[in-house]
Amino acid sequence: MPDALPPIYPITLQHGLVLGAALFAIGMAGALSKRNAITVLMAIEVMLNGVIVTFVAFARHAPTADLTGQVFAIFIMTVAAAEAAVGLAIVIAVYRVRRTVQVDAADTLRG
Amino acid sequence: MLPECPASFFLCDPFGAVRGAIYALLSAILPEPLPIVIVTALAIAMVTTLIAIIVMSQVWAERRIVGYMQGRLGPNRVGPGGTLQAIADAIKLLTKEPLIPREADKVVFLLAPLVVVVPSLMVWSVIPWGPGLSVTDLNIGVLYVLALGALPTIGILMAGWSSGNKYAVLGGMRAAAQLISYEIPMVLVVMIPVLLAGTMALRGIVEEQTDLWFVLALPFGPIAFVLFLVSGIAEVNRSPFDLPEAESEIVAGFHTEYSGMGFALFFLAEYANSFAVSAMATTLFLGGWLGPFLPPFIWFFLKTYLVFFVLVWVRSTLPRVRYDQLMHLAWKVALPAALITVGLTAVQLSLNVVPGTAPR
Amino acid sequence: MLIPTDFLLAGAFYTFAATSIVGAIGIIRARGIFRSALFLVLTLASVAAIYVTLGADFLGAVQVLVYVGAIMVLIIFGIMLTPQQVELPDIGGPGQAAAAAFVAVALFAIATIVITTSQWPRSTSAAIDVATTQVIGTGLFTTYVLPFEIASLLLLVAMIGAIVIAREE
Repeated sequence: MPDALPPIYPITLQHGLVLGAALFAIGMAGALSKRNAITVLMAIEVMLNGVIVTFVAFARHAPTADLTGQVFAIFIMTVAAAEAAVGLAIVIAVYRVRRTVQVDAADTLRG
Repeated sequence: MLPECPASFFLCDPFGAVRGAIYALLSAILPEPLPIVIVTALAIAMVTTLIAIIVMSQVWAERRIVGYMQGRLGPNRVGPGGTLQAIADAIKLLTKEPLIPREADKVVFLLAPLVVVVPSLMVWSVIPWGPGLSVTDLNIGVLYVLALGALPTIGILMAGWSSGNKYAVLGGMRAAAQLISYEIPMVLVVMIPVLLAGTMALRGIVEEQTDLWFVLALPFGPIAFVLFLVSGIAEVNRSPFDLPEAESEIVAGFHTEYSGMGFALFFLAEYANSFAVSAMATTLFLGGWLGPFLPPFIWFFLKTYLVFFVLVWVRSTLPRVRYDQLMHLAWKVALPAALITVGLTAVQLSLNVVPGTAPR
Repeated sequence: MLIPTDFLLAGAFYTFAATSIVGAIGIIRARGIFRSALFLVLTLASVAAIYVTLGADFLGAVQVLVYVGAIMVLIIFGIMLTPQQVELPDIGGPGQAAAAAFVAVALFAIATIVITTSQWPRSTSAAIDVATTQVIGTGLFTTYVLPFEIASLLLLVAMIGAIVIAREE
C-alpha cells in the first residue's frame, strides 16, 4: 500500500499520470482482444491519447515553463493521424480482396 | 479619422455599461468568483435569446429577399410583413409526428441532430458584438471556432448512418466529404487575419483593424475574404454548395428520415451556422464593431447582415454545383490559392510591407 | 462561501476523467462498430477537455480539430466503406478477453504503484499564465525544428502511401 496518496484536490502530477496509465491500459485491453481491425485501430488511438495525457501532465508540472511536453504532444498527434490513415487504407485494401475486416483475414501470401 | 462614438456616452455602449454596473454591484456584496459567474450566466441567457431572434429574422430575410430576386413576394401574411413566419414554421414542425424508421438505430438517430446543433450554438459564445461584449474572450478564439466547425461533420455522418436508408447514408458521406474538403482552405485562410493581427483572440483581431480593415490589406486581403466566404458557404451546406441536402436530387440527403423536431434542429443549425460564418467574416476581415459615429454593436449588426445579404444573393443567383465540380473547386482551386496566399502574406509581413499595420 | 478555483478545476478534471474512462470502456463493450466509434468520439472530446484543465488550451482545441474533426471522420468513413454482414465474436473466445483484461489491470496496477510511491521533484503546479500558442510555436520553430520537418515529411509520405494502397486498381 503506498504510504502517501495524493490529495483529492488540488490536481497534482500523480492524478494526470494515473489517468494516462488508465487510458493506456484500457486501450491495450481493447487492442489485444477485439477481432475487428477497425476496433483495434480505435483502441490504439485510445492508447496514444493516454500517452499524450501523460506528456501534458508533465508539461504542466515541469520546473521550467517551456512546454516541451505540449510540443511533443503535437508530434504524437501527427504520428497518430498518419498511422490512422495508413492503417485504414490497409484495412480497406484487405477488405477489397477478402470481403472481411477480421484481423486474421490476411493469412495467406496469395491473392 | 472620423470621430468614434465616445465610450462615456451611455447609448454608445449600453450593454457594456449595464454589464459593468451589474458586475460592480455584485462584487460589492458577493465574494469572488461568483460575480463573474453570474454576469457570464446572464450574458449566456442574453445570447441565447439573441440566437432565437436572429434566426427568426434570418428566415424572414432570406425568404423575402430570394422572393424579390425571383420576381415574387416572399411570405407576407404571418405577422407584420411576414416577420413571424419563423414562429409559424416552428409550430408546424413541432406539432408533426416524430417518425423513427424501424431500421433506424434509435439512440444514434436521436443524438445526431444534437451533435450538429450544439457546436453551432457554442460558436456564438465568442462572437464579439462590441468592445468587451462577448460572453467570453478566449486567447485561442479563432481556433475554438474552427474546432467547433469541425464537429457537425460527425453529427451528419451519424444522421446518415442511423437512418437505415441507403439515400441517407450516401447523402451523409457526400456531406462529410464536402465538409472536410472545405475545412482545409478555411483553416488556412483564417490564418491570414491571425498573421496580420498577431493574435488569435477575436477581440484583439478587431482592435488590430483600427487603422485598416484586413479586407483592404492589399494585395491578399480581398483574396482571403473571397476564399473565406466560399469555404464558409460550403461549410454550412448553403446553396450553391447544398448538394448534401438537395431536395431535387437525393431526396433530402442525410436528413431524409427526420421530421418534426429533428428537422427543426437541422434547420436551426444551418441558420445559426450561416450567421456565425457571417459574424466571423465581419470580425476577421471587415473590422468587427469598428466604425464612426454609431454605437459599435450597431456597426457589427450592419456589417454581419450585409455579409448575410451577400450569402442570400449568392444563393438565389447561382445554380447548384455538381459534386465533382465541388471537389475540383476545393482541392484544385481553393486549397492551392489558400496555401499560396498564406505563404505570400507571411513573406510580406516578414518584409514589413503590409499597408496599414504597425511594423513588427 | 468562497469557491476556490482549485476546487472547480479538480471537479472538472474528475468529471472529464470519468467520461473518458467510460468512453474508453464503451469502445470495447459496445454493440456494433459504429457505436464503438461514437464512444471513441466521447473519449477524444473528454481528453480535449482534460488538456484544458491541465493548462493546455491550444492543445485542447487542436485535439478537437484534428482528432475528432478529422481522424474520427476518417475512421467512420472506413466503417461505412467496409460493411460487415455479421458482428464477429472476439478472437479466442472469453479466455482471450479475460487474459487481455488481466494484463491491462496488472499494467495499470504496476504503473499506479510506481506513480504514487515516487518522489516527484515538483508535484503541485504553479499557475501557468503563459501564452501557450506562442511558446509552442517558438519551440516548434527553434528547438524542435528538426522533428517538425521530419513530421511534415512523415505526413506527406503517409498521405501518398494511403492513397496508393487504398486506390482501386
